[in-house]
Amino acid sequence: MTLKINGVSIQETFAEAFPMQAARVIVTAHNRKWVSHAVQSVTGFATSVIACKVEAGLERELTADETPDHRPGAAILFFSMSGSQLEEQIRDRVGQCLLTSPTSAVYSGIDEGKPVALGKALRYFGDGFQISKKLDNRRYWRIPVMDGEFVCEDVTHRIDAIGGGNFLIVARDIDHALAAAESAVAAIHDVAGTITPFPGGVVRSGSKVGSKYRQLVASTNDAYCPTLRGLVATNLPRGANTVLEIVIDGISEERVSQAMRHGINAACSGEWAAGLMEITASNFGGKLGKFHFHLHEVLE
Amino acid sequence: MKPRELMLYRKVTAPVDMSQITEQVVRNHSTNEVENMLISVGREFHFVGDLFRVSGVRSKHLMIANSCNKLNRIGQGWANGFVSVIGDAGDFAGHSLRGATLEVSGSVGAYAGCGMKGGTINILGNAGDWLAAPLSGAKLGMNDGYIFVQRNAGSRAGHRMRRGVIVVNGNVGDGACSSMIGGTAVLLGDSPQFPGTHMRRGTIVCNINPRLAHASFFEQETRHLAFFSLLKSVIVKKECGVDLNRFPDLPLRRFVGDRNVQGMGEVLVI
Repeated sequence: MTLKINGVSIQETFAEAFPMQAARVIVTAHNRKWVSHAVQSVTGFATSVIACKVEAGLERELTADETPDHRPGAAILFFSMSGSQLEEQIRDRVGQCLLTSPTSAVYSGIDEGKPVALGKALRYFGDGFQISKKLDNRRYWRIPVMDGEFVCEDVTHRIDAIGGGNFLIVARDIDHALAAAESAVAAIHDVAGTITPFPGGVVRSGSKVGSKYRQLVASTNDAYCPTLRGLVATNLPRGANTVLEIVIDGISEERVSQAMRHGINAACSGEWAAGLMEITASNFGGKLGKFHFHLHEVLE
Repeated sequence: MKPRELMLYRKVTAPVDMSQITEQVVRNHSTNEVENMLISVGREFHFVGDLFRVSGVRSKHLMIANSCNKLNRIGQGWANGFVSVIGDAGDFAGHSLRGATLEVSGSVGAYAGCGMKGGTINILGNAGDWLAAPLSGAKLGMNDGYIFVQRNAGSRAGHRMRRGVIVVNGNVGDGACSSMIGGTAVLLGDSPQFPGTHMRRGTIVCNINPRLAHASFFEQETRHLAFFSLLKSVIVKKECGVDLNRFPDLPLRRFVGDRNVQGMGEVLVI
């Protein structure tokens, strides 16, 4: 069956995704500028679990009315392959990037699941001068720092989640591919409970499993590299010169599916669609990932 | 369904021990069974039915109507449910409350919320002395939960309190939060006299400069505290009739002490 959106062909294939653990943290600060600094810092070098151990991103910005301390804030999602790795990464990142960020405060963004230490681990920085406050069965730590105090909730929680939902935008040139990808990422940003962890939400170096080099677990996805056409078996249609991938992590199958649908529709809806050749998805034959997002089903 | 109701129909002059009206009694006993229970009245024992008209059905909600200040220990040890008191309550209201809500439309006597471990007490009138304080011989006062007093509280409110939140909309007597160990007390009336004497930890929030023992409290620079915004939002959500939103997020004056006892408590002036 051929499916087309705005003339762009949607391939009958599926994205292969994996079970992950996710935690949400809310960060607030004195103003939007310092929220942004804190978010950039804590989500830095968190694009892929392959080398970063965690995938993190801004879920959405929060208005002052939505945050516990009525200051501007943001919800950040962290994903990792194991609970212990996630706990370790959150502890280190909150300690090094949010505790250090002027005027910041950190709160739990999920109330169910297994606890992940926030202030519980960082309170010792207060060297005995930290103050514990229990309000509504939630414990907060007030850790004295040089701009006043760092308020940090005792724990957040981690839940089962999904990482690696994806689709590929195959285009004639980089301008059309980028425009489509930017539009897709903006649309996915509106889906709560999902993030796109790569730079600007887009990845150009999609990978396949394994490599000719034994020490590497992943290497370039040669079937989609336009400069390898003629050297390896290619999946690229004639005239395709650029492929960009959107990778989506989400807190549930429904959210990932919804994000893929919004993303694909947005990618194919604009003047740039004339430069797109197809939308496809990355998978490993269905043997590695537990979750399969079939593009045609997602778009139903 | 009408909740279990006990309406006091006799004038009582001796203290009545209401601690035997437990949540299990209210939830599991029939009207007849409740009426035939014995409760102590002064040095005597009476049937509940001799003092109260019992009505309603088995419920998590107890209403004590026509209540007076001789009814002591109302809501003692309740972990769940709701106790509403129409009228005044005597001493030890909400003693060792563990999670239930106690609402008193009038005033309460001394030691309200003593030994409290959770739940909420909302007093629409005044509270007596030793609000949230420990019983004689006990080390710790209130250990968790919320107490809201819409009017005034007596002396030594929050004495040795360990955790939890007290909000007094009116004035407090002398020695509020003396020897405080932790928790938060929000005192919104006229300038309290020497609050926090010998406090070790904990937070006292006042809206007017309190009369502090200046030698033992150190005044810091004024500053914004995210914690105060957090506290405000938590209290406002409780819909307790105390409008903390009338205090804008301005820089606070902060005193730390009591240094006479090497305390690290804080007094915030909003």
